[in-house]
Amino acid sequence: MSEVAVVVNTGFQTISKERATGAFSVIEKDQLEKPTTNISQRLIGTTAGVQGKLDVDGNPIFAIRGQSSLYAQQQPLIVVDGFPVQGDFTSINPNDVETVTILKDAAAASIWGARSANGVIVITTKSAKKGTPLKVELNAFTRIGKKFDLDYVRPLAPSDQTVEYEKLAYANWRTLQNPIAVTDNGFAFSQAGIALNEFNFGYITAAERDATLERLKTLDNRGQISDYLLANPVSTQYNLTLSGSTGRMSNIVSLMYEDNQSNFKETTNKRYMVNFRTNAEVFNWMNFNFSGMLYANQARNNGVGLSDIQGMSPYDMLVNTDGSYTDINRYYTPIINRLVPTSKFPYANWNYNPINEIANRDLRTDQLNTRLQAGFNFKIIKGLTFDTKGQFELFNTFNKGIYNDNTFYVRQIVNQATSWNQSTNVMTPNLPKGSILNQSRSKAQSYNWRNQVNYNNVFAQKHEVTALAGAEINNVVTEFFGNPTTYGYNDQTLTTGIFPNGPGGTFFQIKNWMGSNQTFSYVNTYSYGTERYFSAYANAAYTYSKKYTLSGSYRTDASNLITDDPKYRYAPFWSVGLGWQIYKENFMSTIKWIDRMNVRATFGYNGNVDRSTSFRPLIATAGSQNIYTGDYTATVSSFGNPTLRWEKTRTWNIGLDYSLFRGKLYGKIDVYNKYGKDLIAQLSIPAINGTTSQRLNNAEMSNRGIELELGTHMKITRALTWRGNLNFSYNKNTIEKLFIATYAASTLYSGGTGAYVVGEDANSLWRFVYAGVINNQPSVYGADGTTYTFAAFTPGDGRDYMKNTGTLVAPYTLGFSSAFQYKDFNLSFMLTGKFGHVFQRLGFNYPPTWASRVLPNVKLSEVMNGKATDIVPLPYNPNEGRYYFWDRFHRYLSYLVENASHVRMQEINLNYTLPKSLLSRFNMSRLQLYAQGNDLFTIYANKAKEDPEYPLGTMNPRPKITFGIKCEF
Amino acid sequence: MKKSYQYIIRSISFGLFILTGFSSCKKYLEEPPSKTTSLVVTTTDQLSALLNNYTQFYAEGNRTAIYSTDDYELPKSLYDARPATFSSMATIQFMLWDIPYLPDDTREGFWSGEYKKIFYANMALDYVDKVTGPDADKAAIKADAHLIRAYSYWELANTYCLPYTDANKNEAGLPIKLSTSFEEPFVRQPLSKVYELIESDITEALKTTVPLQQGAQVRHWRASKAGVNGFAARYYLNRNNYAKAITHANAALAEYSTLVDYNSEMRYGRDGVLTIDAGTPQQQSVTIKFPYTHDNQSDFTDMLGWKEFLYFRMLDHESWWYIPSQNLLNLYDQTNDLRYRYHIVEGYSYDRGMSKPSYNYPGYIFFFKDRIPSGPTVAEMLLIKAEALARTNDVAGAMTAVNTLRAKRMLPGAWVNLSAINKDDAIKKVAEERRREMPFSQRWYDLRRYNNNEDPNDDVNLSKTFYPYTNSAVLSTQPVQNYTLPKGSRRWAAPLPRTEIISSDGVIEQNSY
Repeated sequence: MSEVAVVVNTGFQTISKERATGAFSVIEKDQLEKPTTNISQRLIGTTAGVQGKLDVDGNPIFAIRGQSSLYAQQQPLIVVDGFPVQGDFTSINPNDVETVTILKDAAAASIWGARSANGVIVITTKSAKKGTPLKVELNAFTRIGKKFDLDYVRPLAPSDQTVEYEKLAYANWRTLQNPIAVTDNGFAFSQAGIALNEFNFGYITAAERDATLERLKTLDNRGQISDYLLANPVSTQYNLTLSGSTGRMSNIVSLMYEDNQSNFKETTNKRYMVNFRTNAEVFNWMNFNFSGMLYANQARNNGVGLSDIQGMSPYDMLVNTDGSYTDINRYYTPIINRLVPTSKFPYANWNYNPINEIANRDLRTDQLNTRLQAGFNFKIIKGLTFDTKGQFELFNTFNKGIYNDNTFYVRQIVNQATSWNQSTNVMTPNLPKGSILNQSRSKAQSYNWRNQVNYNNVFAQKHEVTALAGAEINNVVTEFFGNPTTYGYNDQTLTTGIFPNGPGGTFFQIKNWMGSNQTFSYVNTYSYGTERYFSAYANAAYTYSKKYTLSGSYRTDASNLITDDPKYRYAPFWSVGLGWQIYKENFMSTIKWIDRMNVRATFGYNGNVDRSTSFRPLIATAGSQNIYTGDYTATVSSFGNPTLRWEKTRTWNIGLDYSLFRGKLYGKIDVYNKYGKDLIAQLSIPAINGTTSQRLNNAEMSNRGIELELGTHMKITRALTWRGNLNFSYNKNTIEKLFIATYAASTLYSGGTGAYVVGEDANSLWRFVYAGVINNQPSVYGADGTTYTFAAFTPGDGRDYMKNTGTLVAPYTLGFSSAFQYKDFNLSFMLTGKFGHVFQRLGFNYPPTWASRVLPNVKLSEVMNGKATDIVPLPYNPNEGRYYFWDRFHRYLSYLVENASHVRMQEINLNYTLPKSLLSRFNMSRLQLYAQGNDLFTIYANKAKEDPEYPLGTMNPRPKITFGIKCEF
Repeated sequence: MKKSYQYIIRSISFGLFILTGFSSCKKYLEEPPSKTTSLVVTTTDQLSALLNNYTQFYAEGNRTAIYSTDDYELPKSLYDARPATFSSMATIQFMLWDIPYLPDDTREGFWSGEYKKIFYANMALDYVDKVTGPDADKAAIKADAHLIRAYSYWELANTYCLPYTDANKNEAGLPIKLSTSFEEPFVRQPLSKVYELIESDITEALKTTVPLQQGAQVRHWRASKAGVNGFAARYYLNRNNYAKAITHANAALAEYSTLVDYNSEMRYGRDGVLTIDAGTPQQQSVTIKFPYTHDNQSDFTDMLGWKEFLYFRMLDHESWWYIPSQNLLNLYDQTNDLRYRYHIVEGYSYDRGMSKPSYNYPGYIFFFKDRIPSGPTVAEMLLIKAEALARTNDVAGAMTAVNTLRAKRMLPGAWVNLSAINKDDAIKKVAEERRREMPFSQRWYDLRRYNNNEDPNDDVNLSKTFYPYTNSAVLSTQPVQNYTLPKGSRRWAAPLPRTEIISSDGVIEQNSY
């Protein structure tokens, strides 16, 4: 029975699992102990109904039991040691976490009132064990991953195919004029494009052009990109925890340091964290506790982004054979050379190279966060206690970016801001030379104060009563401070430049190099927001004869909504629950194979809040005067919401907990129905009201589902034990009520909030159905058997002819973990699976000749070899003038939609704990060595061989391996 | 001892509980969520800031005005040269006075855009007496809001409703919104009600004492005496009330009469240089001469600096090509009229993609590629005055007014001064000048007026020749056909967007045709 955690923590109280009527999930301790840079990574796959996805750097996005709000906050609430916290999981030292409880249904979460509709994740941190003089824990690990596979993250066609395609695109599929004039300088054509265009205008011969093209076909920059711009992701973490207690006081302090190298060179971060927690029994009737957290994160974001890599032609080499940096041209270079007296500009060098760029910029984001919690607990009479506690948080983020004047960034800004008299070639610089500095800062400050009375008692050994009541206030102030760009900055002397000819504007116009008016911003920007809550709550449970439990909770939340009538600020949330420990009934006592069986049923309401609307129209003001008129300006930010109220989610949940065959099989089953009412949605209203749509509390959405958990703990042989845990969940999301007059096709295919359709899943993927080539034009099926070409936007309501190809969020999820203990070795793994949803694979990108590089992707061959009836071909018409418009269609075709089902090997962990007998010689109580592999492989159902969660052309997590050591004294 | 401790603690705890809970809760929750967004309006400065925001008001995407008159023409030969340039079905449908497909056009923005301006005006009027601030500011805000509302209702009525005549008094007008509430009835009021509102709003706006010019600034993006009089002159000309038109035009001109002299103040800006028929034996480099007003798309310096505005409004064309009809081009003295020299841009078709194979056709260019002044200007006042004088048989007075404008638009010479032999001739000369000066922006309204005034001589029946079309394609393989919009057609009212009818659950009704 030790496998099943005996208590659940709601953040307000701990209750025994037996008496809990709600749907709680407790994460197992050995799962929390594995090496991680973010505690949320430990939750993936562990709990039925919790769907998580990690980004490439391991930061999570969670949804508990489906999406429950259309526009309001969708992330679950995170509670640490009893208080909701600002910031995300990064403000929690993963080594400090003692327990994690997930509250899924109304009975579990309604005590959190507002914002609990998305579920609550309750974390408690470790405290010192009583009577332990001193315990030292040391944990260190390092994790290294493979570099990106450029064929996956940058799926361009190979150089030879690219050049051939560029020839076609140049000859036939232009959207703009061929660059020739000085105003065309910004056409950042590829090298092949430049050769074709230069030949076209007679600046080079056919032989020169062909020589260039043939040379380009042989080049491949993947090696250089990998060597100069990419890095192996590495994370190293050290953690030291000291804890101890005397008779009446216990203390714990932990120090963590972590160093991360991202997938890109020069993009790194260092994290430092100190946590301290003390608990003192001041008198036998009064306890005092205090905890403090200090967190610093220093991020350096100098590296390139994926888009920089994706924006280069496959033959754009970074380094010449002599080691010098190439020019990855951002201009149409021959025009610059022919028509622009570059040496007369402030900077004569007009070249761009990313290696040079990342070496000459210093882009920092520094975070300095602190969290303090303190509380008193008074024992008043037997069973009655009183808590008063508070939390203060101060989160600061500083952004500072310095680009020195070796960067193209600076050279381009300064050169282009120069007024150039094209007849006399006299230059008038309008910006000073030197570095450019961008700075901004944000600050979030919050406090909570809570007072709570608790009552726990047992009468006549049959009547068990637990009750609490309390009130709390919460105030969060977020501020942002933006500084204007500083030009001519010198980081050594801290000197700055001035605008030599003023900042421009109506009365002091200054021209840029091309003769257009320009203005330079010189004002600071600010924002200031306040979120306030007041809440009062009560919760009681009564258990009779240790068999029957009745629980109820009530909470009212009030927030600083904008309203004339304060009554609208308050929202009542409540829940009731029943528990029946059926196995304690006499009629069950004969069934020997049942260790435990508990039936639960709950019903209640959770809530959600949107502060952006009001009964009345609201305005937003501009921070500075309009540069042309000198007036302050404002806009209407909300046209009014006469239906304003709190979003409410009604949930019922029926569950069964069981443990069979002496703990060999245990787990639970939950069935639920969540129904959101008065949800804020962007609804159609007649435009005569000033807007065609307005956020109104008038939508409804349901989530229905089932969750199964199955666990086992078996001794296979004397030395070998096996623990397995399987969880499975199904969720069906439906938008039940929503009024939108009509959906343009482009609104539907763009997805997101605009594509919510009544009767459908909130995450539906709407696509055109390809109809083949008709009259030399690729077409899609339209309403009533018509077809539409790719040349213009399709008319009417997209629902009439587009196809809902499925949901992007998996209705079925699976988690399977398994751990084998053989003597001192432990081998475990975690598999996750998601099924029944869809994703869109990469299709060919049909690039026309525009004002930049023509970059056909790797699917070019699919088009070349495909049939026009199945796949959109290259244009049939020479000089296809609307080719550029095709991207409104070819990206949104149903034939690109694939089954997204997959199974992921999340991690494999092997650890070895040295025998105690060996350790005692060194005064050690535990020494463990471990190795772990993450993201090792994924099995997918789609034929496109893409990872549905990280499709081709996006950053995908690469296999990583971790080695670490953990010891305790 | 122990008992008393417990008593104290109990008291304290209960006290704290009460304190945090309920003492100052209401005040605590009244803190606004933000200092800059989601604000409740409490001051005149905030209302002024709303009305100062000219980007919310100045643009009029009225595609009926752009496409549906005889100033616009897409000849078959131009279309055939490169259909891809004219792929927007709305172009074809507005040009051919479509009825069945236009309600479903997905780029509708004019109806909703004008009602948004009306909302801003109603917001100012709802709040102006409830907020704190100087009385002078309140008066200015009221006048401004009444002008905005009158202006928008007038534009909507003249686009979506039949011309206002005695016979049409009870025809479907517009839903009338006079507050920011969503609860006001949606139903379309009779046309007479709409005009009563416009007229009363003009009367209110005329109470303003705000001058157009304040120090060095000509503040035409806010309502002024000259601006309101300018709009009133336009309104009364359209009601065929020539006496009042003259009164208001004179009042506007008395306050402000600066004209831009095209001889000295108009100039070419940045050239467009491109190559046509690239890669063919006909390849050649072309230079497109643009007026300087074309140079800036997002910088407002030149637009706000245009000296003739009495009130800042512009016709805004998202497809970037006002295609002048042959009929319009023929009206200009192509040698001496500087409006032709600067605004009729030769070879603009190349800029619109028609460069391989090349096809040469001009475009009408004012500000950037998309905007033409449409608010009342000094030039319009002179033309209103000239027309009203001509119609009241003051031929000489009419010619003086029109020639005042022509002197600033033409090269100097004998051709500047027009003369007329009689009333009808004067009306004709002024009408032609009006078209040369304000193509696209006023033509639709003028045609409705000409066909419904007391004068049968100025009536215009429109007709165009083009291919048949469907809701998604031009049927260019079929023979061209004739389309007409005769005097008295019910299509002089453009169809309403269908989303309005759906969103109002059928309460807002479509025009009947």
